[in-house]
Amino acid sequence: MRLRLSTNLTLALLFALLVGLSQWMSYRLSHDLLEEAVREREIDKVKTVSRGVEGLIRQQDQNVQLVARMLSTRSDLAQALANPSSEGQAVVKRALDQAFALARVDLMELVDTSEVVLYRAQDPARRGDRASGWGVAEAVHGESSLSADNGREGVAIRAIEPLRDGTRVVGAVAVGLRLDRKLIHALSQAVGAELALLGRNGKSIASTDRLSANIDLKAMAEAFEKKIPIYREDQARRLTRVYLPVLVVDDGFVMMAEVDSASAYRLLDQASQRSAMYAAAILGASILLGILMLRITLQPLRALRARAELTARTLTGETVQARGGDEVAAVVDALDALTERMASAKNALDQALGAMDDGFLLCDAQGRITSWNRRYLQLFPHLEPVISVGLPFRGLADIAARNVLPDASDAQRDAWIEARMHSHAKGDSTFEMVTADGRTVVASERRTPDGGVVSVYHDITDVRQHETALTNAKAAADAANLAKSQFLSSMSHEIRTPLNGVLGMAELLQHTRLDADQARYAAAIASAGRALHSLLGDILDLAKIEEGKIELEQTDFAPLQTLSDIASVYRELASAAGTLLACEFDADSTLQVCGDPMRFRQIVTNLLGNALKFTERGSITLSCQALPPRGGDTRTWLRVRVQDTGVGISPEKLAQLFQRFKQADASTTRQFGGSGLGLVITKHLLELMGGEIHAESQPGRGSTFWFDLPFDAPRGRHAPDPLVQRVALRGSARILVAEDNLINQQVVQSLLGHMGASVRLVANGEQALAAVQHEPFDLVLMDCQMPQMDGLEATRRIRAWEQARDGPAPLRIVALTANALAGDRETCLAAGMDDYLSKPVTSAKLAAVLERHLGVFSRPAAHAPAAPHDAAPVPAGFAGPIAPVFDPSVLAALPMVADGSMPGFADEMLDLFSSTTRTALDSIDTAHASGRHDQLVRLVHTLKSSSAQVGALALSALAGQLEKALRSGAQTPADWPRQVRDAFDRLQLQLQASPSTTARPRAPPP
Amino acid sequence: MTNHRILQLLAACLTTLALSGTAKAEDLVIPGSGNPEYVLGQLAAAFNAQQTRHRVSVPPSSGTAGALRDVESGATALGRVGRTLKDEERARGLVYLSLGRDPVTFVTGAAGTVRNITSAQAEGVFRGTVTDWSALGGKPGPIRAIGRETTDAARQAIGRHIKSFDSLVFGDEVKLVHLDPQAIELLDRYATSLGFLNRSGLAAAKTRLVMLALDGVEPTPQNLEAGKYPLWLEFGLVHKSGSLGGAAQAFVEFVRGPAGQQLLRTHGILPAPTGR
Repeated sequence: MRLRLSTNLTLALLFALLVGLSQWMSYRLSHDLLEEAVREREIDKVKTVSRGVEGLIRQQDQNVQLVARMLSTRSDLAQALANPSSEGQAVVKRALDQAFALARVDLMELVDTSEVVLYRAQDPARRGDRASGWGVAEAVHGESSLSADNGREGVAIRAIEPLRDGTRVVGAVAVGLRLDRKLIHALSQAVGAELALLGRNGKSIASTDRLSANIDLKAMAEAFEKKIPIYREDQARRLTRVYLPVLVVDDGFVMMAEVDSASAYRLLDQASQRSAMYAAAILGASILLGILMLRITLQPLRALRARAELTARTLTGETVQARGGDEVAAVVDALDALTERMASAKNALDQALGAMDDGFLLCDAQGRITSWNRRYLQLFPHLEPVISVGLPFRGLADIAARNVLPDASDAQRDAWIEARMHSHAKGDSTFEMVTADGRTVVASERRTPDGGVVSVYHDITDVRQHETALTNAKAAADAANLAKSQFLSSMSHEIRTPLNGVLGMAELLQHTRLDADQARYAAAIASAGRALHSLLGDILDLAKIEEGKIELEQTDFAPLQTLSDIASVYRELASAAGTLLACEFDADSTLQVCGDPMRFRQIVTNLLGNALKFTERGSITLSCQALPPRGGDTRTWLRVRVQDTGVGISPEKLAQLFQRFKQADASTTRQFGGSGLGLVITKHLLELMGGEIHAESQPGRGSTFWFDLPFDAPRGRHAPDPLVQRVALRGSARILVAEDNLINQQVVQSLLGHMGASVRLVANGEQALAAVQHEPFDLVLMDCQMPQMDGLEATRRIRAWEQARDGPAPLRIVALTANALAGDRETCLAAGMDDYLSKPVTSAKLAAVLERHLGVFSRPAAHAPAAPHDAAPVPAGFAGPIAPVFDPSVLAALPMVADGSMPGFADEMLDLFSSTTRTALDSIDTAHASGRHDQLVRLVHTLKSSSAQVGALALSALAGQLEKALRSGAQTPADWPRQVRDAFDRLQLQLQASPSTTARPRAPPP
Repeated sequence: MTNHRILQLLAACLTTLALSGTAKAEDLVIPGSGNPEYVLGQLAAAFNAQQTRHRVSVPPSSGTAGALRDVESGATALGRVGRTLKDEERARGLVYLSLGRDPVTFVTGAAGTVRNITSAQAEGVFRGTVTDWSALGGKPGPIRAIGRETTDAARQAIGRHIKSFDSLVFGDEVKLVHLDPQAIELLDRYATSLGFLNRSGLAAAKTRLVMLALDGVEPTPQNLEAGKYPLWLEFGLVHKSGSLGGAAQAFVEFVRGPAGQQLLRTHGILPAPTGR
């Protein structure tokens, strides 16, 4: 594999190489300069030597010339030559020897005019030969000369002077100095250099002893030819030589001078070493600095690579494979990979956008178009010729305006464009638009994080068509459902009204003298009627649950107390069935929670009722425990369990248990009765309240039903405890109720029934008189206003009959009156009545009356009706306090409603009130129109009474004021019938608006 | 300012510049070989006499080598050389301007008694084997031979004809001088001396030196031009490549002009064709 160096290392090496090279060059340059300086210095030195040598040679010239001239001036020598004699020879010898000894010359000769050597001081024995040197002939002709003599004995400088005797030349004297080793040595000492005198053939004529090197003939010849000094260095031996062309008098030679340059080169070496050291230090520092700078310089490159790799990895999830440690190549790889993946991602995105069913348009932060898809152009084909990347969105808006508003003015189009641009710039809008081809498109525009705007155009044409179809279908369904609901409501009223009659008649029938079969038949009728009544309640209940019209109450109550109360009720029933009901409560008995006590009671009584129904001669355990707090849930959770030892349920039936109309066994209904809706309603209620229900069972070994239910913390609002209100009559009181108003009949009968009394209902005074005369009653509740015979008349006749009969203590008769007029109480007492009970009848007032006249063991707590909510407008012409249109607390406060024992009672009353009031209003209109004043007063009175009884307080108040006006003959508003109907309509509207008008409790299990 | 005035100002400036350039005077020094030294001195004197703007001087000989050195270093614009340039010298950017051919002659001191010398005799004298004039048919006496180094133009001219002379190692008794004036000085001093020199250079001698015929042919310009006399040297001027200017150009034009040519012929020099 090919080795790839990192960029860092490569650049560092390159940097080091460049720095090294520059340092080497710098070193070489400085060394060369230094060397050149040293060389120049040494050359200067040898130049000095050269000049010294030349000067010394010239000095020798002068010396020998001086000696020759001195000798030439000696007359004795001239005379000796002019007059040859032995004495003369002695004189010559003495004079020359003496001069030779003193002058320190090498040659001293005396020649005669024939150029014959007469005496040689340096070689006295050799004489008589002819002098052959240059200048002798010229000297004997009277000319002085100085010449170089290059003979076999070496080179000598010779000065020749003529000897004159008077004016006659008689001979010549020659003085010479040899340029021999001795002289060269002396010169060497004088100039401080080793010297050698070289001949024209390169031969050394004379040299110093220490001159060690061979002669450089080439250099010597060059010096000869060019007549310039030639310098040569011997670096190995640290020597500098110069070949110097010298003219010895009149002959050319080369003098080689050799200078010791060791000290200079030593300095050069030291300087070079220092320079090398500095260069190495600079090189090292430069490399370190270079690496550091490279690291800093490459840092952005690394960061770029990391970002690119991260982005590339984000795109595909795959890491980028970098090549080796080359940073630049790695960055290139990362950018290549990023580019490739971005292109791939963009391609994929383009394909995805192209495959979208929605139009797509993306603009950048500057409002320029960056991308769109095929669908966009399909939706807006008129944009296809102009759309391009970078086109301002305004350009599209401009074209769209012309397309959308083809006939509009420029100002209108401009306004449309500005509105469109504003919407687009906002980047947070969704709107519908209709394309040129009539398609409906929903445009959603959102701002992207980078400031751009992405627009998605969703074609909802088909959806709109479907919606239209669905709306039509829904309207049809709603109409059908409304019809069904109206039918169901109507039918429930229609069924319950005769059913109530059946039940009432059956009850009355049971109080008549019947034989055994008749009694059994009457009981069967009553039982079947109650079952039917309960089933009807369940069906309506379930319908309301499924329609979501159930409203849960949030009231503080004590759940364990509620359980205890329920248990006490069912304990007697269980005992009667030979079953033991046990309670196991593992919670604080004073625990207060906030919830819907009636629904809670309904659930528990349903489960207990089921247990009782399916357990024969066994045991039932009602248990309750507080559950530990659930994570993050601050509510109080209770688990209520109802366990029985009854018939049990098979697993497959258990699974269907909470389905509507599914009892464990089809035969169950036949054997045990029941609608099969109880558990379904229970389950729905629990789910509404946030709880859940479970069941376990084994056939033959009993069943366990339990539910977990959360409660909020108490809020300080206490619901009246129905059980406390409940009045239990001592013994079985028989009470006759004379009341023509069906509502009042039902209420009073129910109240009394709830208290355990036996009730006989009659509708007028005549029936009351007859009943009293034929049946024993403990108390009569006598309505004052009744048709045929009112309560006052009936009372008077009863009192008369009693007096005539002379029987036991007179019957207690308590007036029932709407308390419309002052003085009613006195009128009632005057008629023979014992007490006075104003309408609407409440359990508290009724209990007080019963206590006074029959005696009770518990006084009901005072009931405070809930504050009225919706106040009715005060009708024009009637002054008075503002009364609520409808106060549900009136019916809710009835004990049989509050304790859940008659869960459907409130609604039944309202339904009954609504139907009877419509009839009553028609009757009022008729009486008013026909001018039957008394009938009109009675009808209005009845309306006042019945509406007060069901909580229709506004209507009651209006009827009361009307009754008062009618009775007093005061002026009544001309439109009072319409006001009454309006009041009734408002009541109906409010009742319809309220899904659960009276928080109707559940019916107990049959 | 109008265009007309601008043009006037520009013309004035150019005129001033041109006049200042033409008015520049130079002193030209022509160093170098001793061979043409005398005749160039004569030419310089004539040139200086003919005009006053430039002044040309011909200093004592520093040799052809000195001329090349000074011209190459830029010390002077013109140098004088006693030979044509070698290839390597032309390669260094030097340009040679021939003045003419000058016969090289063997010459004796004023006391010379011979008038002719053969090639063999000349070789023998400088080899050191012939030392007395009697061997040349002259009055007996020692021959004081004065030689030159191998780079001397006159010696090289002899070497072209007498092949052995080119590499001849002179005898010990032969004096070897480096410059023509030194040779002339010795010839003047020693009347029995023998040397060789270009003919025009002899005019610098103080004594009456004697030119010798070589192998019976007199060293005259006519013989030279006729090809009879074999010894000659060509000297000339040398300058750096590129155009000459000022005094150098003027002097060259003078030398190559009719007056210069005539003066060369007067000194026995066969002038070079002016077309070269």
